[in-house]
Amino acid sequence: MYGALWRILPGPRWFRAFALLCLALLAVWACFQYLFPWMSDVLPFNELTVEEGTDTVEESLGAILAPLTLVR
Amino acid sequence: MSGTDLPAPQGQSSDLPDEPPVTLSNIDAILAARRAEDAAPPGVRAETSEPAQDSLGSDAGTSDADAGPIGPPQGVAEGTLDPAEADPESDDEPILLSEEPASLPEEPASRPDELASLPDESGPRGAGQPPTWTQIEPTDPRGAPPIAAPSLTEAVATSGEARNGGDSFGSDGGEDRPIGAPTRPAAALTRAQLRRATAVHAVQASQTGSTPPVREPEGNILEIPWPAVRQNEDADPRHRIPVGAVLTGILGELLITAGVILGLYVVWEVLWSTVEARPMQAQALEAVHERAQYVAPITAAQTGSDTPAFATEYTENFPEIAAGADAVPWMSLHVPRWGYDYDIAIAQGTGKGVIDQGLIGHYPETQNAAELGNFAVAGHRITHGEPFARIQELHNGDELIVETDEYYLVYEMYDQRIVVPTEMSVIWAVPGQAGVPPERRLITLTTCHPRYTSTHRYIVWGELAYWTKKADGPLRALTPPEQRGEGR
Repeated sequence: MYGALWRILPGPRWFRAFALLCLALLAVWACFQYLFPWMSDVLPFNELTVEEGTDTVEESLGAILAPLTLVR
Repeated sequence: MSGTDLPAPQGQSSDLPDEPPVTLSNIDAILAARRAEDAAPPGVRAETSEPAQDSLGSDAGTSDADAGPIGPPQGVAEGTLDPAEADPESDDEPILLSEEPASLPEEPASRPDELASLPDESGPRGAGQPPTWTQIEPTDPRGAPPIAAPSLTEAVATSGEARNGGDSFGSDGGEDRPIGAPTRPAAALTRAQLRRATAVHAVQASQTGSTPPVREPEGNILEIPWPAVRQNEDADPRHRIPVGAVLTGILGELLITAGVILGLYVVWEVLWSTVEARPMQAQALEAVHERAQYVAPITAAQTGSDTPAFATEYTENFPEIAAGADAVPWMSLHVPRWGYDYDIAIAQGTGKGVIDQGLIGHYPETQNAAELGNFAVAGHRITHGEPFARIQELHNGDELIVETDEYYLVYEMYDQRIVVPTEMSVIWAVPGQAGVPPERRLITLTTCHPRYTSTHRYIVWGELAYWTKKADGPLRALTPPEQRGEGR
């Protein structure tokens, strides 16, 4: 996978390394900006309020899988 | 043995395109001979190699003499060699037979198996047809004259030459006769043949303990430099790596990636979320201060007096505080225990949009500040600005000060508890007692417990002790002791 990415990238070795570094930073930025906030919403690890329901891990996993269910 | 020197194979190449096995087989035969030579005493060395070389020489000999209907002798002929015919041959060399009883008969026996794996090498001659080279044998069943006898002796002589020249791959080293003539252009070799040649080469190198020869004679398939062969195979690795291995590799990389992402998520949640929340906290507090009704507090430092006149503290006639709009910060919380500069905005609602910005969220279903009942708020203990990070440091009697637009509401902590997340009774108007009309004005702080997990909730209760008007002067509870002066 990453080997194929390395082969696809053009240019000399140093340029490929630089390009891969940029791609990795871009991926990390995307995770911080979009993926992790979403994960924080759906994962049950950071609840702090007292409330009824939606506290168990099973229900939280159900909330995670709900979009997939809609797609299907 | 160069192709240009050997007229026989050139004329026969069109007749029998599948000749190369002869060369490969010759390698095996020479290997056996070399093996026997190593085991034999030095005195009989020249003769021990004869049987192996004999097959080589006999090919050429029969090709000369046997150019009849049987056709080209190379390739298949030797492949069908069987032990029964090899023994009479060795009768001519009784010393050799006594020296090598074990290795020689084995060598021909393995021939048909190898050929069976390569069906295209069986050639036009069927397996039932006797090999032409055996005509050199005195006991040839067809009674053919031993025409190839001269070539037999010649092979003995030339085998020594080849060995002395360091060439161990079927080259007879001589130009005077077409021994080893069967060759094919290297480019036409199949991959399987190249692999076999490689394997033979490796075996031979390991047995003789010598490095393989760098240069191969022309016309032989082994003239291809070994590095070149390996380069050709490395150049197209997809033909060598199984699909399962590729899929496993991709799966492994995906799993590694998932692990890295999960690790990054922890970094983001624990560290980066607070870094992101700090500016939002400051922005929310600034929004509270910019409210139209907001009255800027007077601090003890602003009075410029060592004995500032603190605001009057009222314990009754509590003011009525305007309700906040949804998700809009409209008050702030001070906790001197956490520092006199602690000041976090309170917004309506406990959704992610409030508490994940580092704010303190007010449970909308609970009473407002200064009301009879329970003013319950929630905040993060870790991550996202962690306004309640030090909640375990609170003790009974500590002030929890709500700053509204015009007033300070000073609550004093009186109890704490750790409960399960579904324990809703902690934020009831009268905690733990349903349906009871409230008679006290409480504040409830809720946050997660223990840190880094959220299996429980940490609850802190306080009761409204007094209130002051911000315009009257500095709040004594928010004034550091060194600024309070000696007068009070």
